[in-house]
Amino acid sequence: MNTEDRRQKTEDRGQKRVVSGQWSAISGFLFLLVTCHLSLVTVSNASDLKIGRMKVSIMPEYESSDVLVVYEGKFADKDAFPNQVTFTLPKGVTKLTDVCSLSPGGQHFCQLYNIVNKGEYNETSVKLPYADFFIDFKYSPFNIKSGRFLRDFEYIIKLIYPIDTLEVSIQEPLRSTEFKLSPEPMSKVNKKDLNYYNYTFKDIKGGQDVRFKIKYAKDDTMPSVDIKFSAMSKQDLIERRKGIWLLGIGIVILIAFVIIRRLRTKID
Amino acid sequence: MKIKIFLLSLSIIIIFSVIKYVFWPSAAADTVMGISHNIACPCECPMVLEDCHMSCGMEWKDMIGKRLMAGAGKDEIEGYFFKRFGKESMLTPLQRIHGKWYQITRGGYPISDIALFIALVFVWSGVLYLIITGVLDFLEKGKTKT
Repeated sequence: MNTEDRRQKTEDRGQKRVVSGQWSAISGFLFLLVTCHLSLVTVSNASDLKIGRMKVSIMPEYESSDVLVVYEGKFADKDAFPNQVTFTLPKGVTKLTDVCSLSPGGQHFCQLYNIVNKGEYNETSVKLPYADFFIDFKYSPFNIKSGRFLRDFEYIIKLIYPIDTLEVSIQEPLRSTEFKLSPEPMSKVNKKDLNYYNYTFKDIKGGQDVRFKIKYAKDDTMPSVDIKFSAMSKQDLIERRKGIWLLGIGIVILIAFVIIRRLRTKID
Repeated sequence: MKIKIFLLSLSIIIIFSVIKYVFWPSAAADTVMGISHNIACPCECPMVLEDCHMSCGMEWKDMIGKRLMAGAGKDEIEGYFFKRFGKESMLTPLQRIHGKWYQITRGGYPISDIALFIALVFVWSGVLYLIITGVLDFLEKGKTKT
């Protein structure tokens, strides 16, 4: 191969590199364009979302000394899913019991979530595969250890998306007295010896707050239902208090072993 | 040798923890949780009923609660579920492992609980490692004395 051929080949390779570089630049630009477009579409979809029907159940001291809250409902446009959605939570909620989406076949797709502190409230962001959602969590707006105390708190449903129909059900705890709600409930139902006060609101705008003041007195801190017979109880991976004790004992044993060994080696 | 002993200790603790988590009910046998540990979730998902918190699962747990309050025992309630809903309502060991794994991978526990669980496994593996090496040292010293 003479020098001319080599030069020719090098030039060819150079040209090929330039062409392939141009192609990668074009394909990169197209990729960026598509990605930007898709992200814009997703963002616009997420902001355009609307909830068809949503039910919020607020159950103070139902199966623990906390307040159990359940959000369940369906987004109006089922074709907009999978989609990233956001729900607001009361301040202090750092853990959700469940965040799930329901398929049309009734299968549950429980999702990973993250909770962000937004100052006056917390927010959870979750990717739902289907338009149906179910979220439940507990929180403690009051801290009562014993004795007769008046419970007085405000629950704010801070809505991000507009809602066609919002149903709210507040449960009156067993053994409570002077149970008062504001605004006045629209209806009252008795189910399994428990009173539920219901509200229905139509055409709620996105960003609107729906507030409820709940006030009652109770002589004890026992929940309405015995956890032993309650369907709400749930298994933990490890009982927090027991786990911390076991961890502490284990660390103490480890330290004791290490000290004994060192002392023995010194003696030897 | 030390690494092998530590790996052995770690394996023993992991196997013990997994068996405890999957097969050992955390609640007493006369509670909803104790009984739902053996029953499959009816909501077309692979969960164990005790981890199921959806309306269809809650209905079953509610049924267990009502029967318990009426004085029925664990065997009677499980028998009732078997007769009424068939063998699909009863969990096989493999289904139980699958269900529990699903509960972990679906994000069913907060990260702090998982971190505590991992910390416990490592700390108690360390304790077991020290016990095994202590026993081995003791035996070796006994041998050299004789």
